[in-house]
Amino acid sequence: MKKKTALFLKESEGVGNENIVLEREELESLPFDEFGFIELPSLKIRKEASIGIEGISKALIEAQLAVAETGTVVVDDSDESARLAASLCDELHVVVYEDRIVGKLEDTRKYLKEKASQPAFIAFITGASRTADIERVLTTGVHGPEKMVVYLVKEKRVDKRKGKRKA
Amino acid sequence: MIKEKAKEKLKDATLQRNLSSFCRAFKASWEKAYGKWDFHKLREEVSAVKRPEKERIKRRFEAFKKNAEKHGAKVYQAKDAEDACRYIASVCRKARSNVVVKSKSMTSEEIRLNLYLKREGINAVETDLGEWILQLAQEPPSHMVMPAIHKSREEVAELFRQKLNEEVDPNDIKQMVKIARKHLRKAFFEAKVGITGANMAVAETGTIALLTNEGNGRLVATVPPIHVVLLGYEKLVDSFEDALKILRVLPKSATGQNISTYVSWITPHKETHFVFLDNGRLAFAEHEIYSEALKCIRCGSCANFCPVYEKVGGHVFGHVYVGAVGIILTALFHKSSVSRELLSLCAGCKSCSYYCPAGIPLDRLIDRLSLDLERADFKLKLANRLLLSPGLAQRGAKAASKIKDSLSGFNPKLSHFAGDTIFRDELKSLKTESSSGEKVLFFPGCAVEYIFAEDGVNTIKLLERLGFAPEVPEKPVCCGYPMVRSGDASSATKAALRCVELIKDAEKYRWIITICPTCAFALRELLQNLCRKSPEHFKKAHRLRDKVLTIGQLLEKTDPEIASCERITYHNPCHQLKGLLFSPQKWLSAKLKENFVPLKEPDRCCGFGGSFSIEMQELSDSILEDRIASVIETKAAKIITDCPGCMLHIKYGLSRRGSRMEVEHLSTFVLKNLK
Ligand code: SF4
Ligand code: SF4
Repeated sequence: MKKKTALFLKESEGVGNENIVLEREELESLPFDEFGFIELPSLKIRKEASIGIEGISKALIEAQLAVAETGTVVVDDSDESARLAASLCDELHVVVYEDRIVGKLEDTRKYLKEKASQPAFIAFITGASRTADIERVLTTGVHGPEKMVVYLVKEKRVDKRKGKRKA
Repeated sequence: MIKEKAKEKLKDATLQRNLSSFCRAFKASWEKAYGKWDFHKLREEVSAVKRPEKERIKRRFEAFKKNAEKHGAKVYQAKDAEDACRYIASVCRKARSNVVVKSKSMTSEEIRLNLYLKREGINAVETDLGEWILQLAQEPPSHMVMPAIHKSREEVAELFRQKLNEEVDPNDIKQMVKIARKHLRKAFFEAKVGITGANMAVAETGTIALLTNEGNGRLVATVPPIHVVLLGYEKLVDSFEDALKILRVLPKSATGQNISTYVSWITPHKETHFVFLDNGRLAFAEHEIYSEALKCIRCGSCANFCPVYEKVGGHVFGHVYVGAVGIILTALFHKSSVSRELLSLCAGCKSCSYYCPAGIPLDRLIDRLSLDLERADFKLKLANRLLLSPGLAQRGAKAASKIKDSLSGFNPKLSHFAGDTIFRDELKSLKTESSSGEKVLFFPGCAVEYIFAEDGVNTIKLLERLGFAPEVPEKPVCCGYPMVRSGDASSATKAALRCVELIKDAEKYRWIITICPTCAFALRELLQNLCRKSPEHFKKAHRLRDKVLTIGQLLEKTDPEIASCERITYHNPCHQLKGLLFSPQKWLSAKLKENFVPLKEPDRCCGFGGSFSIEMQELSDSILEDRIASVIETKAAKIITDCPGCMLHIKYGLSRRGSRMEVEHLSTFVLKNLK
């Protein structure tokens, strides 16, 4: 496993996320029915829901980037219903493609600048919604998700080897 | 009076327990979060990014405005609190929003927005859990990061029962959080306006960044149709590159996290109002030193690392803003009279400056404010006069040594301020060897002159043994620091001028040596500025500053061999560690090897702080107790330190605990144990 990927998984676990490492094919067989909202542009899957005060139980979204040093997923949250779904669900599930992991916070600069030049809402999400405001006891699910699950989709090995040989 | 309020907090057991456990846990996670990062380098970057020059601020603002307006946002420039409140209220009225939701914003506290809206019939609901609890309790926050830190779980459960009619087991915090979620969720959907602050505002695209752990910030910005952003001009940065530099340090310094759970980057995409608050910011951007305060990124470290704050919390050591930066911002944005009271609580330990991730020299701002506001009362002024008239001071010191015992009956701490003899008398009987070594000037300072004469004499002997030819100023001379600390400008200037005159030809000395890091700090860092009204003295002060060393610094340079000795521990004087950024601990432990036992939390203050130790004795004693506990824990035979003030205080602290551990100045210790 690449160093960046390993670090991302470690940091993601460190903030309490459940990490599931998948092959690309396995991603396609996720139990999509379980999710009240889905937005996966890479698979061209979108399942709409009108999100009200009750929120929804599970939302599945895709990260544009992920940051290894902090275990963060970077989500283009400009679409309002996607943002409401991600903010008001009990469980947030996020798909992260291995080749979108960057090493450091600074590496998101170009993406941020490009996206934010237009009306936008970009979210760095690092774990479930949390508070320690009562006697410093860490509790999740204060406003948003109580739990976060990351599906790390492995890069195709073959491609990588080819790439190396060329280099 | 603030002193009485502080005393009360010292008696509040819940507050003491919560604050102390928070501060310890915070420090540990701070260390872990910065881990391999070079804190000083990171903060230099942040400091450069946030340089508060007026022209830059203007340029950034214009760029931000242009970009935000491009996307249809309104940008309003509010000149003061009233103006900002009025504008925000009009937005709420137009939207017919009787309920608005807010995510935590210090700026809104600064302008007392909730109160204003309430008078207008608008209910502003805080959505940060801690803030919301306090809103229910109708109390102000007491902490920047943990607003409700003074509340126990039982108190919260009771509050929920009374105000919300919700029964909850006080041990079921999870359930309390669920209740809050339910009630706040309703507010989000009722409100037509959401009000947030901004942690950064990126000029190049007109984007703001909002950091929260709970995710309430993004909900406030998302659910209601209208978003109002209230922010000070100092939140502006040029680019994402700069914003990311701040993002690297802010969560680490605020909560000891690598990153906050939610960081939202928002470029206007719906009805958005940016309210830029001046309230004095643009004026102070032009101030030679107070402008530094505009670099603040509101992380709260200058409170969380402050020993006084750890004891009394933000209800006492703060106004709207708390801790060190609170002292300054209170003077800049609110009232000087309140700021003056806060100044008297500062122990002068410099932890705030040492840990500020924006590189703000808070201790200097505090000192300057103390002088500008002329904080000193007649008692402090009298004490300062005494230090400026050596004849009187010497007579006073001799008299004190005679009545030491009765002083002890009156207040045991006071008796520790009395020495056995005075330095100048000891000096008369000292045989100095004529030496061909390099000339150095030993600058004794007040503590040696009047209290620790023996350590002064030992230092002269040590300097000779190290091969130098030491001299001393012909008369007792004060470095001026007590006058600066107490806010007595005219005495401070007098002391500084006198100091430069009595050091005379600094050129002829290789070094100027002190055994008091406070004197060293004052001579190096403050003297020149205090002499600014006399070009002659100013020039001389400049020439001597680079020659000043503490004895610890000299020992590290000369590296003499030390014979083995009993088990020793060492206390870092704040002014050396956090003022001069130096500690002889590494050298000492290398020399003493297994006989050296380090103190836990090596940067902890002993609570002395000069006149603070008497002015705020209960507070000072309480800080001392924590330090003494770790000193005793080492089971060392002797504790070494290299500041006479710390020595005095630790001696007093140990005697209160009935401990027989010896306290010795580094100078004396090395002299006795030279190989
Ligand atoms: S100098 Fe020390 S006591 Fe004073 S505000 Fe700073 S940290 Fe607190
Ligand atoms: S002054 Fe420095 S330490 Fe204090 S809150 Fe501001 S940035 Fe943080």
